[in-house]
Amino acid sequence: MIPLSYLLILSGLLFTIGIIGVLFKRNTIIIFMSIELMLNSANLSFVAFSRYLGNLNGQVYVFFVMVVAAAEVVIGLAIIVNMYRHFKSISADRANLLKW
Amino acid sequence: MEMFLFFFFAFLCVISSLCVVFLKNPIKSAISLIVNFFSMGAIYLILNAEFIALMQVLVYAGAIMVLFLFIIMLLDVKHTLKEEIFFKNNLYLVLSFCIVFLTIIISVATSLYNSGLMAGLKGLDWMFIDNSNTKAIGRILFSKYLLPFEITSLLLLVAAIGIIVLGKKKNT
Repeated sequence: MIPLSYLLILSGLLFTIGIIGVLFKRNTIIIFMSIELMLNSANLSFVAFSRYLGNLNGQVYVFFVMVVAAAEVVIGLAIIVNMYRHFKSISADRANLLKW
Repeated sequence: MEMFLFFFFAFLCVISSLCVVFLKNPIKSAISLIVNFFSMGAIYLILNAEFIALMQVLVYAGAIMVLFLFIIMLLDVKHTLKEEIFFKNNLYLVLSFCIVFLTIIISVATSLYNSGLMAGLKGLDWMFIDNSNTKAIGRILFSKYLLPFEITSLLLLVAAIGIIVLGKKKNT
């Protein structure tokens, strides 16, 4: 049986890589992929705790997180497409006005 | 064997997520994100969460990544490559933040290792009904979590309406 701390360290590594992606990259699609990475790492720690506590609630939460992530990706990509129509670019630096 | 598989897929996870962040081409990073999702699904399988592994492969690697690739191909990739710059001004700030964050996570994880939490409180048998993880999740999802499940369908409806509103052309 894999120790719980290994899974948590893996989850923390993935979360940190996701944070690096969000903070470093200017491409909005890559930023979205990094957000997906962070959601996945949270899911991993949910499943790890669910396994080690012998409790199914964590896996149900992962199910809900997946549904919310799907909705979020759909809306976010629609916003990116609108941004591309408006600015002719998907760089995050171009979206510096708070009004459309 | 379990340890070996875990380390293999964990290595694959970390490498592919580094590829997602640091590759220049968005299509390549999308492909490596698919690799990441598959190896994550394998880790879920190692953790005996078969339903979650299935959902991971179906929803993430299937639906979400197809959407990502479709949007990448819909938009112009060459345009964005020129504007792709790194955040050079705050590089050290961001890196030090990430290192502190990782240190906190690792220290918490190792302190958990030292405490007795990892022994397993209730045992595994509660996770399986008739040798099926999916059946157990279905039972708990439609009894204890019935209201959040229905609210989730409402959320999906809101997302569908939102995508119609956002995707409409402005000329009408």
